[in-house]
Amino acid sequence: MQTVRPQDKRLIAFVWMFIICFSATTIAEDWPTYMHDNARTGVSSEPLVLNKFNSGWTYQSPVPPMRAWSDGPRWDAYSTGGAVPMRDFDTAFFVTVVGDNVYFGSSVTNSVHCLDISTGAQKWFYHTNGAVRFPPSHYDGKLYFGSDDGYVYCITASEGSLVWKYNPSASQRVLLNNGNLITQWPIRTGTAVQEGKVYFAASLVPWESTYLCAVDAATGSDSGSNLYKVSGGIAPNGAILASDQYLYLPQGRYSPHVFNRLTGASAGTLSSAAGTFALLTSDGSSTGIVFGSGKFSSWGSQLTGNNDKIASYPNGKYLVVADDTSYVVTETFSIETTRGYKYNYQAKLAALDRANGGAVKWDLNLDTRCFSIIHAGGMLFTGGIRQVQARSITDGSVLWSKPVHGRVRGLAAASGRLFVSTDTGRIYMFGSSSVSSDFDGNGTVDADDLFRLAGDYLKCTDPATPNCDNLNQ
Amino acid sequence: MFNSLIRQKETKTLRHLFQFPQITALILTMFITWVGLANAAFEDQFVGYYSFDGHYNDTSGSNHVNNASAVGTPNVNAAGLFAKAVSVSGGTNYVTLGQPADYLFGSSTSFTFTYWLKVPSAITSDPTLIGNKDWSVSGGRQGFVQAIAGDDVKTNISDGSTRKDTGLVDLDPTQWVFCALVIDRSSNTMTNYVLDENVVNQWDDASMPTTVNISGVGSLNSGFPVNIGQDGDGGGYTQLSATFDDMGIWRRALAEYEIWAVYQAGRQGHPLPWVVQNPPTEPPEPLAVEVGPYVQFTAPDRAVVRWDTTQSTNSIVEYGLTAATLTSRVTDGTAKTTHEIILNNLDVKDTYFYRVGSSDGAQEQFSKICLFDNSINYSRADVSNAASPYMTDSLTPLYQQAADRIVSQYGLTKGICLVYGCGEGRLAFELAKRTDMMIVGVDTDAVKVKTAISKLMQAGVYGARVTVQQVSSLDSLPFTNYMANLIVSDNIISAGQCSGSAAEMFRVLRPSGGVAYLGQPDGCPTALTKTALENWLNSGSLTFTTTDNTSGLWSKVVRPDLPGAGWWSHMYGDASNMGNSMDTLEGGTRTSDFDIQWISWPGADSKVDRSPRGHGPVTKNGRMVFYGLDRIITLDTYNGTILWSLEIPDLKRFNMPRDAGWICLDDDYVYIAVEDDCWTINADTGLRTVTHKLNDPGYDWGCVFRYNDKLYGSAVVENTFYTGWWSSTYWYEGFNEKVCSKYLFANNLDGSRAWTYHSQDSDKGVIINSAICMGGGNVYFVESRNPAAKSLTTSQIGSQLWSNLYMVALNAETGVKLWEKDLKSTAGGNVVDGTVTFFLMYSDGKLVISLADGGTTYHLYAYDVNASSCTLDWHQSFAMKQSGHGGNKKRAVVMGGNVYLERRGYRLSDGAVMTTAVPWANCGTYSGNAQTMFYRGGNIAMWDKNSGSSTTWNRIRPNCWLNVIGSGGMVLAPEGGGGCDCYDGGFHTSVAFIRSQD
Repeated sequence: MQTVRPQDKRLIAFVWMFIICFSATTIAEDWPTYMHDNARTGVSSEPLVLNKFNSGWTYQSPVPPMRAWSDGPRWDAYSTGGAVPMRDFDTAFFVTVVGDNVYFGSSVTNSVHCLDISTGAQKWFYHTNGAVRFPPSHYDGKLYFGSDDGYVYCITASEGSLVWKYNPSASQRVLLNNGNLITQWPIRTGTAVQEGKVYFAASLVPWESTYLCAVDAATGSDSGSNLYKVSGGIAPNGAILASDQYLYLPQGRYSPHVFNRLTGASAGTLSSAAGTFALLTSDGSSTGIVFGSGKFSSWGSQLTGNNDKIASYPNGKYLVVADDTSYVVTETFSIETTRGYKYNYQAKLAALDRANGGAVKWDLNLDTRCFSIIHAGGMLFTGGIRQVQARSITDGSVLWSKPVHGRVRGLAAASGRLFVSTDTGRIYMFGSSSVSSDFDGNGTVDADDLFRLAGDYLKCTDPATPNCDNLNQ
Repeated sequence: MFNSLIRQKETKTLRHLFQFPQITALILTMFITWVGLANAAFEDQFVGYYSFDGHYNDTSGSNHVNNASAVGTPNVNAAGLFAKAVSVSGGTNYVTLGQPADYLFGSSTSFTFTYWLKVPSAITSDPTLIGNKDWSVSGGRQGFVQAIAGDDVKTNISDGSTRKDTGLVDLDPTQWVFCALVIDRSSNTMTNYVLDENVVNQWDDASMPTTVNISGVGSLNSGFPVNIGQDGDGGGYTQLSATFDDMGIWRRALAEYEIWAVYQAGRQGHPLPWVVQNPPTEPPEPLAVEVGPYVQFTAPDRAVVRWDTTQSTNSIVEYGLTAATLTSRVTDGTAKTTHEIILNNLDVKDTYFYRVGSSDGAQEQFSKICLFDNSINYSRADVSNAASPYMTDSLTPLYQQAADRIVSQYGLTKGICLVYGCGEGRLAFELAKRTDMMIVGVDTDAVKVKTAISKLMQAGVYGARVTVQQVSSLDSLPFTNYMANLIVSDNIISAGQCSGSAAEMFRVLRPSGGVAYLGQPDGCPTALTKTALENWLNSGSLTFTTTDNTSGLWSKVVRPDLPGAGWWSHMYGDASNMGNSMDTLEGGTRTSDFDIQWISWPGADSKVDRSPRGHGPVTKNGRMVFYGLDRIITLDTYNGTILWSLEIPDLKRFNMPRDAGWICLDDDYVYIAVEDDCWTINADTGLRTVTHKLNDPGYDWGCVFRYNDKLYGSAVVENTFYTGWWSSTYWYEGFNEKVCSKYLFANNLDGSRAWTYHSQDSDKGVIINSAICMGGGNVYFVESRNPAAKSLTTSQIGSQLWSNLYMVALNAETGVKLWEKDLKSTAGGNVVDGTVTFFLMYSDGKLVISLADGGTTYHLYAYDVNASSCTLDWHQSFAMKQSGHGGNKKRAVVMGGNVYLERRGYRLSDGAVMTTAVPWANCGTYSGNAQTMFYRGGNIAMWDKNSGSSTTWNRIRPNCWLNVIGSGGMVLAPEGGGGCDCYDGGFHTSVAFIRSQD
């Protein structure tokens, strides 16, 4: 049997250290904000190995998310068409994942929670006086998020300690929203942190004023270069999006409103359609926005940053764009006009060639309704009723499937793992239960861990008596 | 053809039994009789069958051969579902069945058409599929038609005067669908079936047909032939391209199970003749359900199904996510007549289908399939079994005793409880376990607040049932006024201290019965003295009662109604119907005088879009009842807490301008008409306590009034309410026929009958539901004694009402008639016909008739009334601003001694014109308060009668009748505009406003 020499271990350890350090950002990509980035693309290059997705953990909230708004009307009798929910931005506990931490905001506990990525155990929580409806945005070692208590908070990502908090409104009056306490100006846009500034809006109803804010990420100040607090008469509902030039605010039942990111000046309203789903696409020098669903029936519309429509997706519900392909989820349904309910849902998934005028590359029927889609690890992940699936981007075929409780409203991928958020208040992690470099489990990653890894590696590659048990865990 | 098949069966049987002639004969006779009987039931009145297999022959085998023929060149060799079929096109190539005697159904013969249909794509316009009328000119033309409209199918009949239409049923182009139209003259119904490949079984989602009442429709003989693919007159539509196969015609109404059998056979590849050979057997009688079933949610994942049966039986509930997959089952073997089954672990926020049943060991019987929507489940989590996160110590039993005491003395379990000085949350935890309340704890001590949050999170109750906030001072809470149903204190128990300010505590206490219950059980570590407690309460100038005994020292504050508060307990204010709560709204007269108190639930997803002139909200004693689609929801008016909701199948009743209110409240109960019953429901719990029975087959419960010590109701011919809601047809711009009652009665609150006023008596008439009101100890109504109105078998009555019209007064307690007034006489005012709307209201010794005639004029008639006489005082009339789009339906409001109606205000005492500047309410109507009115001014608008100015809340739209009211000192606007995108989208939310605190 070959003896593992200490110098061999040191060499191997050095190589692994180099690889791990160099690959920190390529092997383990974070999901640092809602839908991955401020454009809400839902696209990650995080490599994922499906055969590792048979283990994981589940976080379960005491009760399902306590949504801000009810769903809207089921139909419009004038058009005899089916209406769709248009303020459904807080149906699950969406996550952000950075390093070994999983963060989410809760509309039940009014807190941001930090879970251990490997075990799902809670590390800490930060409590506010109102529902937190979007996951925090991670930026430079800190977390930024808004609450129904009217504040935007900055806390440390490691321990959840307050750095600063900011409230654009002088009013502290608390009223009731579905039996829960909120202020007149809740933060229901989440945050977008970009170039050292935190962007968000505070609003409840369109007949009261709204605040759009850009505050300094380090201090929370709204005074300074390209910092501002402006007010207007819109009603933002849904995650704020940010591009180099603009901020986009979905408004639920109204069309998204656009603002100049640097000044806060209004840049107008996008025409037609509405809803809270939106993402930005980048085509070279121009930015387009895709948003939906429409007021009367679900459809999506892709516009340029100048509000020119360049595509529409009839019955579009959700979409993710990766490279030259748009992957669109559409849905049709019937309305039972005696007892008044929707049925006969048919969801479809299609891949459209953006470089070829949206020509259909492939499409297929889905076996359940679909409520979420992301592109990660070179695959599509779709969330339906009681199931999550991985699909081939080549033809949409199912590569992997797992049952879950409820409807999958949120998906994220980071650190080789898949995170699934359902409307029952559960967060599932599918993946390795330990990807931490703390191999000896003493709570820190140090040279001992590297030596241990090196030793395991050499044992595994021993040509005489290979033993890979430790590496296969 | 069918008889030859029968003879084949007979021959085989004979061969086998030939050796035993007597037995053979007996068995043969029995067999022939059985087969004959079985066939005769389904084949009964079977008068036409067209296979279209290359010909137009009628091969039904009936006594008359009714061959069809081609008009133009339809293709009778088209590919069919069974062999071949006939394709029609362009309106010029179609099939005619002619006018044989078998197809002349007149005014009393039931009939059924069934056929398979395929259209290549959605059709524009609404061409005839089959019918005998000149449909392209008008659905009011005489005859019948089943027509296609886009991707829907509907059926229409008319005798030339009275027209009836079914609702639309989905049609899926490009596949074969089974269509049927059934006219049943015995039940006076018309049913429209469209069954496609998505239908899996008889109870499937897509199998529900549309059925309407056709009372009053006479002969359907149009003088035109029955055509397939074209109007009876041969002209009109050209858009139809369709293929027809396997058409059957009966001179009777097929039962639903027979329709299903033909459809199911076709799905399996068997045409109609096969069904004749293999006739369906009538299914077992459905379960005789006396009341319900209906559903109440009790936790986010739990529903309770309740129903009553006349016989004592065991209980079964089967349920699932589609009507075809009722795969979950819960049973209770105990025999009973009042049933209750709990469904647990509902994990999808969606519609569930269910049916209730019972078993006698040999056979199970089930009700029809009903549904409930678990996404309209507003229940709070049940934490009664939560383990305590606190260490057991000497305080543990004290907190438990305190919580027991508080809950028993308060008596209610829903709403918001404020723990004013909450410490580490121990009292909050105990209260959460014992109630369904949302507990809000406040304290100034940051460490204690942090401990409370951590402990309650550990217990799994934080957020779900308890939240805790640190405040800088208990003397100045950030909360809006009136928000808490119950206020208690942890600090008094743990530290023997009254923290904060009594006045501040009272500020956030809910009026109309909100309770502050403060004190401590015996044995607390620091005893609070009675003097200290009462001094603290007196510092806030509070009224309270104190007990000091072995149960501890406790003081109770009960907050009464706000000064100037009024309630809206009936559809139009109260039993007087004067459309006014007389609420002072704490002096607010402009929308800027108010702030949001609560917002969101219930949303537009709980109701029909725009609420097609449905029942408005009703309030009393701090509770509001909201009518959705097949549900009622009861909320706390001060904090928006959903107290309970009931999912009640088939609870559809619209077009309130032509009907009476059917939901009302008193201080403790909700009264709601459901089919032929009126349910008395505990307003706090949602539990049904008394079921008032009509006990009159063929009638439904009409109006509901709660006045003095009685419950008042009326009887309406069953199936004659306005229940349609799909499409703009059912905004009820038309549909002027009034819902009328055959008789009016008073019940004691225990359900026993006190008295009845019956229209069939020779000196009485049919009572116009929208013209019933009460006041001054009397019941008032308008009735028509026209024999033509009284003899109708429907309760939707139009022109026949407007002769022999009398206004009648009864003593409300005894039912004794006090007087009557001939309204068509000069002394009675010669009241014009209320063709569009006709309302009656009472105020301060005056009766007011508010009506819209068939043209463009509103009329008001005012009468002085007392216990013995009625005298016309004045009459005013004026032109409407517009008569279309709801502009002609408004009703007056009596406010501050004046009568207001669209741009006019008249002094009630003498009819003098007080103003001509009342704002126009678009397609809705007005609701009044002491000094203001709410109306639809595009958005929700408020008019100040003193200043004459109007203000609005922008981007929030009321419904198309009445959904914004002033009540309990607040403005209540439960959601009403959902589905409409007028006025730049509309925000679509329920919202309540409170007088601004600034």
